[in-house]
Amino acid sequence: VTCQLLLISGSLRARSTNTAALRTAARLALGGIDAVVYDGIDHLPAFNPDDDTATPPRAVAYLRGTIHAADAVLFSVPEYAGALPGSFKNLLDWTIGDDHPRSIYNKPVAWLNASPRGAEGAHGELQTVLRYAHAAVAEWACMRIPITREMIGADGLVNDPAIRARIARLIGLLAEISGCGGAPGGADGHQLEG
Amino acid sequence: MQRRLTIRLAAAAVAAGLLAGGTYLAVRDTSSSEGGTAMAAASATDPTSTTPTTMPAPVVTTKTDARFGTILADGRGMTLYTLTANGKPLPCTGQCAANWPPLEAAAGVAPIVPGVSGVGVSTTTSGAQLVTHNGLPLYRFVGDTGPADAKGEGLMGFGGVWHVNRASATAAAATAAAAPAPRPTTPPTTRVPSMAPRPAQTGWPRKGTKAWTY
Repeated sequence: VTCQLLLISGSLRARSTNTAALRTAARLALGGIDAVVYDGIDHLPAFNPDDDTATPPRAVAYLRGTIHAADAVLFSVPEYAGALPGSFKNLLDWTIGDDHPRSIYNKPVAWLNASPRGAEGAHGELQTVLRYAHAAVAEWACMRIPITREMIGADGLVNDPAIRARIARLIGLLAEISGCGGAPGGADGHQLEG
Repeated sequence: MQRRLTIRLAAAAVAAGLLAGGTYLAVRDTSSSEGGTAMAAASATDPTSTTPTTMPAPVVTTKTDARFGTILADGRGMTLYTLTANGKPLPCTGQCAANWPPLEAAAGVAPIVPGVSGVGVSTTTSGAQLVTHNGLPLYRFVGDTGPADAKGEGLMGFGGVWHVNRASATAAAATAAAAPAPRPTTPPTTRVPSMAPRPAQTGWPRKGTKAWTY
C-alpha cells in the first residue's frame, strides 16, 4: 500500500447517502490505495477548549491518530439547516488544535458533494473551516456526485455503475495529486468481496 | 479485505485503548497518537518553543474568485500575487515584503501543491527560498483580510504591477476535470451557475419541515 486515504462522513444516519458514498469509495480503491471510513464521530465529546490539551479525550486522540495515519482526507457531508451538521463541525473543531506534524494542517483534503440539491451552505462552510485549519484543499479533486437513496443497495453501497465509476475516479485522482503515489482508480469491473 | 471495511469504533474499544484487530488505522493510531502526545508535551514544557523548529511546508492551492476565476491561493485561501514589470520578476524585500509577504519554503522542503502545476522554488541572492509559479515568486497582500479578497490585483508599486495568478491543473487533475462526468465542485456564488436557486425564504419554515437535506 502506497497511499492511505481517510474518508470522513458528516452524517450519523445509518442510511446516509454520504456515508454510503464513502463506503463505496473504500471498496473501489485500487492500485495501492488503501481507503478507510472513519466511524467514530458519534463518540466525540462536545468540543471544549479546556480539554484540547496534550492528552485529549480518547475518542479525540483516535480521530487525530487516524488523520495522522492518512496521506489525504476525503469528506462527504450533508447540509443541515443550511449549514454544516453540528456534529461534523464539532469533529472539525477537534482537529484544529492538533500540533502533530501529520495533523490536518497542510494535509491534502477534498470533498465529495453527494447532495442532489447542492448543499451549498454546508460546502461553503466546509471550505471556510478547512482553510482555517490550513488544510491543503485539493480543489481539482472536489467533485459533485449527486447520489439519491434509490442508488443505494441493500449492501449499503452505491450500485449505480456511472456513479461508482466517478467515485473511483475521484479516489484515484485524490491519491495521485496528493503526491502519495497512488495509481488512478481503476475501472469498476471487479467483484466486491463479501 | 478487512482493512477496507468501515472501522466500527465501539465505545468499548475506545476505552480499551484501541482495537486489537488488524486494521492499519488502529495499529497506527496507537503510535501516532502517542507521538502527538509526546510532541505536544515536549513543546508545552519548552517555553522558548513558540514556533516549530522547522517551517511547515508552504501550500499552494486554488480557489475560485468571482472576478478572476480559478486563481492560486495559499493554505489559508489567501490570494497569491506576482510582481512583474514587462513580464519580468522584480525583487521584493524590506517594505515591499512587509506589504507583500512572500510565500517561503525552508531549505529542502517541497511545497504542497495538490493538483496545481507550475509551482517551484527559487533561491534569492539573500538565500531565501521563495515559492514560485511559472518562475515568478508568489506573495500575499496585507490588504487582503480573507479568502474572498483579491484587492491587490492591478496595484502598482515597488517598480511593477501586482497580479493574481490563474491556476492550471496538473495533467492528472486536468484529465479528470476534462472528463465529462466529474467536475470540480464550485463555490456557492459562481461555480454552479446551472443550479436552481433556492426558493425565497419568506419566513420560518413551517412546523414539521425537515431541517436536514442529504
